[in-house]
Amino acid sequence: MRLYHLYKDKNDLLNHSLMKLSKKIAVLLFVITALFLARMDYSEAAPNEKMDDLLYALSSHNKYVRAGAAEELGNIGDPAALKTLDDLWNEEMDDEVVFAIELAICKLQLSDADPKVRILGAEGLGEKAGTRSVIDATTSDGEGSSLFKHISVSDQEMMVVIALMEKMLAVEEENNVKSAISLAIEKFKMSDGDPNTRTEAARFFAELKDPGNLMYLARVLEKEKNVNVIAALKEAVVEMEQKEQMALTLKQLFNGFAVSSQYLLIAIGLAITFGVMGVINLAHGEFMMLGCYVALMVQSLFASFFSESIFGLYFVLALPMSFMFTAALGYALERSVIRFLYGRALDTLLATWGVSLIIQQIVRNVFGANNIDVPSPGWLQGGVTVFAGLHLPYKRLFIIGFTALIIGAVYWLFYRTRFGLKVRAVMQNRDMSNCLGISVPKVNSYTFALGSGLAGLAGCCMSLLGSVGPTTGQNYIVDCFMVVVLGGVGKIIGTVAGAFGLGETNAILEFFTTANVGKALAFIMVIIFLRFRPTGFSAQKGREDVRLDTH
Amino acid sequence: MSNISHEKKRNTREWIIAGSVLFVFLIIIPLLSTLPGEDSWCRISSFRLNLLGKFCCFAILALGLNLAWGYTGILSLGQGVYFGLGGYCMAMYLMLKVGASGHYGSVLPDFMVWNGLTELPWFWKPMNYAWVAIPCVVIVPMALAGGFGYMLFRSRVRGVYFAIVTQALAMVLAITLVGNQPLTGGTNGLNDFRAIFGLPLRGPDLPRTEFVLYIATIVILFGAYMLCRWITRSKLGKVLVAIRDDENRVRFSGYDVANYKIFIFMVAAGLAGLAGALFVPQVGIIAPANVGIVPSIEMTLWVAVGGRGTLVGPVIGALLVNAAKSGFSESFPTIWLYFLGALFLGVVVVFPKGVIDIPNMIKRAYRKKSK
Repeated sequence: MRLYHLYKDKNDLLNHSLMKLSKKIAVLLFVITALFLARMDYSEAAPNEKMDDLLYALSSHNKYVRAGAAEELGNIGDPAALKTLDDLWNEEMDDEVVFAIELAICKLQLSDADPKVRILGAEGLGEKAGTRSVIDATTSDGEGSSLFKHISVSDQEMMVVIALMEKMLAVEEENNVKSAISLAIEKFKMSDGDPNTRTEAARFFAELKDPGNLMYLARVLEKEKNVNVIAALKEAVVEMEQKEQMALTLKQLFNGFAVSSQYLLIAIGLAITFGVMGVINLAHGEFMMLGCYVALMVQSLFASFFSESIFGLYFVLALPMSFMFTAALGYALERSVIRFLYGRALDTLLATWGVSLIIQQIVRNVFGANNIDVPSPGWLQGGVTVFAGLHLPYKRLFIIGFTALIIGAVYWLFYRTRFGLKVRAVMQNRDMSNCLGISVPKVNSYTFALGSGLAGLAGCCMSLLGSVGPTTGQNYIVDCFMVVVLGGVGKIIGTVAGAFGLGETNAILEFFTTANVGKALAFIMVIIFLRFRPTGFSAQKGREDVRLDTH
Repeated sequence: MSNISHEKKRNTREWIIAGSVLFVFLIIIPLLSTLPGEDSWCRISSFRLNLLGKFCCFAILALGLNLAWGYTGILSLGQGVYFGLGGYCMAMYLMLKVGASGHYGSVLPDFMVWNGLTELPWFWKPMNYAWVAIPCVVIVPMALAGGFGYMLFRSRVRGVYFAIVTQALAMVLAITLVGNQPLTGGTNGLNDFRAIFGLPLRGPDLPRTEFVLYIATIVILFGAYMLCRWITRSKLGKVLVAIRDDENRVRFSGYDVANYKIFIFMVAAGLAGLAGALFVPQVGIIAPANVGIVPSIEMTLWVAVGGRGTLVGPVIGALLVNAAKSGFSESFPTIWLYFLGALFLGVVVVFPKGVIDIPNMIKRAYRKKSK
């Protein structure tokens, strides 16, 4: 845009043409000199010396000499020049030279040892091709194209670049780099003068089906004049849009799945304290939040006492630490308060709310009221790309896997161990269990500790997803209670169903509306669902109404 | 015979207490507030009078919540919803009365202009008229409570489940209010009112308006108290207590439990709406922060502190807790949350019957000792 304004005057245009002419002469002169110099030298060091000359030329006052030198440097293909060009790129002010340097950098990058850099080079060239096709198509507009011509790849250059890329493609071994290079080639072909070549390129994009190119193709389509090419392009766009739709749907489903497993991870502890013991623990969210802070503390411990190399392992230690810390706290809470309140479910609700306020304030006084960022360990950063447009982050995958593990462990504990048997016995009939020699108070306090510990564990996992603050827990508590109520009390499988029911409903509704409306609608749907199934998806038959009495 | 005379005696005693309390709140305190001299120790500043008026709004809400929780055993953790609906109805009316004298000079409220709205949303339109807005203050919360209660009580959702679902409702309302800024004012809520029924809500004449509003609040509080007294003394009230104590037995005796519950839940909602409507002009703002989960749970604390299932308890509780809150947060803001948390714990573990039971506790302890 800046350039356009610069040359909008006719005089300027004339100047511009003159400048272009002088550029050509300068380049010509320069190349002749360079060739002359090259011919004069017969020694082994010839390319090196030539490069030295080029590097020298790069500091010339004449911008055309600089641009020409950059161009030549790119063609020589010596990776050593990359650094110099990079430095120059930072300092260079003139658009034309910047363009020449960029092009040269891309070319050099293409023959780099690192496949990532090679991809970068191919992508850069692809971008240049993109500009070219958009500008080329504007030729009929007159001014616009000629104004941008000096910062777009010329036809001759294009042939050189394509030839270079094809050469690289032949020797390339990495698949990623191969596809990046062929993409760049096709983008250049898309800007070719021959409509047949363009049609072929469009077919290539149709076969590739990468939604990432949608914007690019839309831009090309806007400028295209040839009917055949337009038809081929439209076909490609339709193919891509279908693919994008699919990717979007799958992504939303995956997000729903990830959110559901978060819900489940937090709610499983709640399902135990609420479902099994009839205690409404509103401090559950705060236990979770404390789990986050334990992770944070273990992290800073690692940062200050251990070497950088094992920093990523902090998380492995943080998991059991957070479990033990919150479990101990839960045990203390049960012994000091909750045990006086069995059979008064609504009173446990008020009491634990009080506890949650106190915990929040303590955290505020100790760590401050602001949210603190928790950097996640290196081995959980990044993700796996299933296909173009569908990227699954490792963190989410980890949480899903970890949730499955925890659910399995809880199931095993409840249905395969002696402790689980006792817990279920107490849940079904407190007095009878007492008569049969089960120590009900003991079972109760261990169960509550287990539920609280699981909250801490969940909090530790949630710390992967970003920051933590004193009110982190409060944001989750209502969702988790809804999960437990929706799932029905007393069965693990019910909680699983509740979590996925709420999570996916939320994700789907969010997809059609906004995040806020989606959540509100999901809750309303749960309320309506409860009207028809008051006990949720699955419910323990029997004595729960006695335990969960109102006061 | 003796039973009846005993009842009569109790009644007269109660009337004397009620009358003297009313005398203090309606005559003495307003008189003290009109005393000349800014720094006289017995003068109640208009700031304090306004605070007291606000607390009395909360007391109205607590009376209603107590009918549901204390007498019928329905714990609502979403009473803020009805409070908010009443408050928002009132605030919408006051907002529209600002008219074209707003900052942008538009008939629309300022925040709507700011959000790029050009026309009044449909549900704002009827609020232009006092005769729609004022009844709506009670009717809208009651209608929502009725629908909500019909859905859940009919399918016998009760106790803890009901409490959690009401909590979800509070969250839904808060989310909706925050999420629809162009329609509801978003997180900032509705504020910056100019006048109510011709009385200014800003400027030098504000204390006079506050005085009138205070009197109105006390009168309405008294009315609400009488309503609750009447309901709990009637046969209906006896059924409610029976539902609280054993719902199934009442159902088996042939009563339609759900209808009783729906009715009392609606009354509670209506009182909450009324409280919200009185709250708005006195405080000058209603925002999602007044209606969400946290304030809703705090509301149950007022009732619990005062004494569940007693008529006067909730009023005392609301006044006490809020007085403590404003006292603490004025002088030690960080300690307030510790105190609040301890209050929740204490009222459940130490005084499950609330402060109203403290004299009895002392009496019992004394008797035990003398034995």
